[in-house]
Amino acid sequence: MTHHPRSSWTSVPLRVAACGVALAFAMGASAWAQPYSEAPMLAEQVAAGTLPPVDERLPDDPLVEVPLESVGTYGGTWRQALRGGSDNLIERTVGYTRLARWNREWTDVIPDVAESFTVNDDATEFTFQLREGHRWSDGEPFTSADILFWYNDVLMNEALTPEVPSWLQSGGEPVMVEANGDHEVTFRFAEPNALFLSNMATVRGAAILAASPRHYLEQFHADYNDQADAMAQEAGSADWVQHFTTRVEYPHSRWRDADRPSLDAWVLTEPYDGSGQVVAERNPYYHKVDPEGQQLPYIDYVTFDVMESRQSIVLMAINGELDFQNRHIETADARPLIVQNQEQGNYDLWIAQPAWSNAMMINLNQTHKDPVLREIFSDRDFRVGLSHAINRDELNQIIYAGVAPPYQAAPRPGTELYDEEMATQYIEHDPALANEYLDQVVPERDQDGFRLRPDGERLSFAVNVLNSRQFQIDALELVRGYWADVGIEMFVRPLERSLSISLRQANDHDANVWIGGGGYDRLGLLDPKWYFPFEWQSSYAGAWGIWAQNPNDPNAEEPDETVLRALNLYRQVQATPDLEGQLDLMRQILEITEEQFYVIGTNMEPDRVGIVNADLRNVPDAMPNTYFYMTPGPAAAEQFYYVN
Amino acid sequence: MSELPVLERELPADRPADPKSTAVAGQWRLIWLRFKRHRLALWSGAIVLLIYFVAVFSDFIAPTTAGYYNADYTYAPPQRIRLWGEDAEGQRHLLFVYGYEASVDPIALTRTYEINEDEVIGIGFFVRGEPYRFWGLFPTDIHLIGPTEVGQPFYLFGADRLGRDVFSRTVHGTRVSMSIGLIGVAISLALGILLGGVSGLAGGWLDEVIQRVIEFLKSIPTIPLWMGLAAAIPLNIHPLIVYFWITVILSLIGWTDIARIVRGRFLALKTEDFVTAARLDGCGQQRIIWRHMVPSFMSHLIASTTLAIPAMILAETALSFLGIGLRPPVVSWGVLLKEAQSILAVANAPWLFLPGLAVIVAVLALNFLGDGLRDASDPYGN
Amino acid sequence: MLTYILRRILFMVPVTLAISLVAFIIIQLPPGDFITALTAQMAENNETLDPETLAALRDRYGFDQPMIVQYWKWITGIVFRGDFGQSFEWSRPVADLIWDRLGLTLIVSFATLVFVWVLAFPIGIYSAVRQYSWGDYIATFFGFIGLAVPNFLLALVLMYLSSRYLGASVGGLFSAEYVNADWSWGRVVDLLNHLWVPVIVLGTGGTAALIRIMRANLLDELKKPYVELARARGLSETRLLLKYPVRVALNPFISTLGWILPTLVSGAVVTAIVLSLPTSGPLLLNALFAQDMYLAGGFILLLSILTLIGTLVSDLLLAWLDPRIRYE
Repeated sequence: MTHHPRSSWTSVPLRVAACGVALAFAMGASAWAQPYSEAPMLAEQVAAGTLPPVDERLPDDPLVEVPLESVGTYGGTWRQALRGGSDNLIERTVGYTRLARWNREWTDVIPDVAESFTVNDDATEFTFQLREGHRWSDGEPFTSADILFWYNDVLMNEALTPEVPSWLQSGGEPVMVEANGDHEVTFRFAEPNALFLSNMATVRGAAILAASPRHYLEQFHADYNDQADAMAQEAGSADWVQHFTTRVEYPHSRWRDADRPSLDAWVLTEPYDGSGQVVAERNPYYHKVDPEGQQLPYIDYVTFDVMESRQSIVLMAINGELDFQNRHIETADARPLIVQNQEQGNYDLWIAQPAWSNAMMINLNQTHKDPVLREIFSDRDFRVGLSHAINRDELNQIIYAGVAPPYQAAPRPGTELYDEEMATQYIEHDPALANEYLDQVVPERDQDGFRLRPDGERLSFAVNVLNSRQFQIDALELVRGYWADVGIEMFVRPLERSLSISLRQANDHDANVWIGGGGYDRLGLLDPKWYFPFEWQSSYAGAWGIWAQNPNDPNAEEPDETVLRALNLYRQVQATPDLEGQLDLMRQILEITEEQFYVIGTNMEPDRVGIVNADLRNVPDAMPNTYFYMTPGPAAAEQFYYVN
Repeated sequence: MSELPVLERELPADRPADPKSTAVAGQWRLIWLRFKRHRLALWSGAIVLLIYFVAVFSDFIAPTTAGYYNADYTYAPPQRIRLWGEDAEGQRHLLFVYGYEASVDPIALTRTYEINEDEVIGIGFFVRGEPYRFWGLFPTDIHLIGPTEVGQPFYLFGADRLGRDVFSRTVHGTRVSMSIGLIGVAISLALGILLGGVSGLAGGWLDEVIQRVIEFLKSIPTIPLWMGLAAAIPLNIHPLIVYFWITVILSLIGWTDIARIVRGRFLALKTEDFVTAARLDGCGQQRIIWRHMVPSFMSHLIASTTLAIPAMILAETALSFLGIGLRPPVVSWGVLLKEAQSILAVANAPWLFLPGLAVIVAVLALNFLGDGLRDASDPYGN
Repeated sequence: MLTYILRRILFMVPVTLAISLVAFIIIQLPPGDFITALTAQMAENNETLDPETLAALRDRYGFDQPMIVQYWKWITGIVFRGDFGQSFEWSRPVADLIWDRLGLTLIVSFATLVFVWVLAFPIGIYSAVRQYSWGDYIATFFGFIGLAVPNFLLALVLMYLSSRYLGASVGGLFSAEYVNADWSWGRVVDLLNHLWVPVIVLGTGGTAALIRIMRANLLDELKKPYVELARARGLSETRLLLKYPVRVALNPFISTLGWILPTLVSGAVVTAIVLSLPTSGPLLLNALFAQDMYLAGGFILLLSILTLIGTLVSDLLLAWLDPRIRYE
């Protein structure tokens, strides 16, 4: 089954360095002695006089990227496939460039475009040093004026940004950005914004650099060009605002424009506009070099085939037509094919570690519009009873082929926030105990053995599930049986995704299931919606979640004391500069979560697999797999290279 | 099947008409006599009857219930029924299957099955198995066929991803697929003939209105219609009833093709002598349509009806994609085929397509039956 | 006849307007709007957009206006400026998007049509003339297998077999090196290399159906007295067949022939998705699911106009084919 020693699954590091020991470099970036070198395709252009020499293109102090395993050689194409018109794969791969980004291990935020950054003690001031001589992909200089353009003319422009995103606000005030000279910018907040850098490393951080190429964007901006509206209408847009924003908007529409200069490792030559394959080629002005002074990236081209069905992407993978990818091919039903066809497709596997803790959380809406159901769902004993009624071992065997142990919605083992008790409470399958708990809430039964509500009607509710998630529908169908055994009537209701979301946003659901639960520390900090009602997606208490986000929403409802306490603790997390302090506060929140037992977890979300061309090097054996990590962005694809 | 056509041609010569029987026989008797000579149609009729028999007694005929699952046999391949075997206890069985030897691949997350010739599983008739309510009324656990010992694997058509018996599910699916779907086809056909007939025969403003309505219906995008409906359907309605109404709506939109075709034929036929004759005889519009004009292109109607049946059965596939298809625990052939809709099934579990065989058999049988009936309904012709 | 055609064309205007209004309303029947669909698509993968971003989008696209205002803006834009609006999802003018895909869609549709007709008519005629012969049974049997096997299934099987045994994935219509290339001989060959899969997948069902229809129609005709008469007059069998019965038997086929026009443009949706064909079908389906209403609306308008034209063409052909048919 495996044809390459690196893909052995017996040892934990999957891709044990086959190409020698990773080189260690302790070379200061500023004390650069040897000359920089460049890819042959760029050297040709330099020789032809169409491109300045590499020394002039690189910043004065390029970032030295230490390769994962070994220094590489130039060439090749990284082939990927995306699906439909709103896929954020380009954003995750080509587009993962920030002032500061995640490190590979997802433990810290490190400089990227910025040469360095400093944070003051109370996390209100963030100062970024830009690189001297740094240029956009079209050769224009990149300076603090570009960042100011984003700040003054995009973020602070009410037409373009009606509302400042919350990560760029603190204490109800938007951020202040100022430049100190050409190569330094400071972000100043009214109150501490401790998660600012973390947020910048997620998808949100793309906003800044996407809307910074002033020399290009000015022509579309009404403040700089009287004809901007006319230009927009000629291009088919309603007005200049629409024309402008679609050019800079992440994660999708900014890739429709192949003319926009960027600081990414590759720049688009064929846009993502529905007309064919998306192509990107190396950015001749990219700001990174390897320890031997070779300008990165190693790989010449990146291509994205735009496919319609997941099935055809899986087929491409097993045919060896993709080089490095996990998106769209990691679903459980594709796994046997992906694993069995390594030889045919000449690829190895890597582990995409799910950042979510739970493969299926059951969220009973504890802010249900029907007061009777609300009362029952809000009763902790009821949820504990239902939890004990579920046979999670059987679910594991049938649905997950035995690789998803029973688990509640709690941080994953091995994390700082992991708490065994929280992860395993009420997890045993024990119908007798379940009946005991349920008898305390809804003791009466009808002649069919189903329990009755206090008002005498049969207790019956529907659990919404996305119709695209077959394995959850299957699992729920089993849960329906387990619950029927203890006298609870439940309907499985598969829904199209837009409908499912509309119902949640309107707090019009009895219950639903979802993958989730922040499994990793960083994720728990950034996205605590499964630990306490934090936004509308916290569908176990929809109305409270909506309130936490926007108290004026018609479906919002002020939460109880406990939730307010958790919300308050989370505000403290946002204001606590050091990670330890943040985690301490997070633990207090998790205590509340454990005590309240808002959601019923079932099984731990199992590891998934991605594929990597057997000739591709410097690819990690495993990496976290979530939108908040921007998988595989932080793995630094600019240092991937082909050996053959 | 090979000699059937020959028979068809030779029969009249072989058996000279018995003056006593045919000369004085009534129309229905003649139809029956003629139908009987059409062997293929006769057999097809028997198969159709059998299919409906299965539909009515599916609970009893299926070796197990539609929802019964077993974690130990996910994606188990089909077993072959064998004759005369002796099991571990030394008991001899007329029919038996071999058991499985399973091994799990922890990376691919698959089970691989080998036939275990040491394990003989006896198969019997009227055996005890999973309890169920016959016709939803009488609790029992007797199944027509199944393993003599409860809980032994018996997978004639293999198992699906949850270790459910595909054969049993196919049997259970017969009920929905051969009833509700056909109702939809019937409504379409009736509406199409009626409105198309009126349109072609009457002409004038009536034709104009009906034709514009057809164009209008033809242009309406159905997907958002279903998505809107999916949001509006109350939850406590049984999925079968929902499905029934959706079928009705489908046929209310889907009559347009037949109507166009019928109209085209009527436009051509209405000047024919036999129509004029019927009209002069004082026949009503309805009678002219149904008794005189429709029979003259019966073949076409039978063909388009039989063509519509697989389309209707398969329509469920698209419906569940929109979130309004049948929901578990109801099964139908369409649901089963939809579940098979993946590369994984093509590559590793092709037996999941066996329910498609049921569709093919049913449609072929209905088609040949229809052909036979058409030939027979014209007993005085050739 | 000319006045008849003119009257029909005149009728198209109110019908088209009515269709456009109803279609516009129906497109928005599903709960939520494009933003909801986008949120849902991202939430499905546990991805989110900031609420402020969503609010800005909703504001920018004018979703908060009443539907009739939105409709008025849309339809006047089309009628007076030929502007079909912009696709929300693709941030591109609707007309460009549809135009981009039209060429390849027509190629696939025409190739399929030719495949179906070339195969189905002779077999259908043979089946009818030699009713209950070996060949007839074989055609019937395979025909119904072709009908009862869903297209998506056939597509999956062909894709899998081709990847397994030919070592090439068959998704799309071009190999990677030709996707964005300009037309050249190599690109044409590459297209032909990919075209057979969709043509077979799309064609089997249609061929089977057409064989059955052709056979049935012809059977209805062959029994009629005029055939006997013609035969008695000594017409050669082929001439006799083609001159009258086949011609009359085409009638039901012609009645819906015009509706091929819209399907040429929309193509077969499900198959195109499974095979990842860069045709307009998936574009339309995705637009409907994503509630990308101007794209979906523009598409449906185009298809409905083609339906109207198609009906007219059918009616004219009917009269031409069969002189008994008269429109007053």
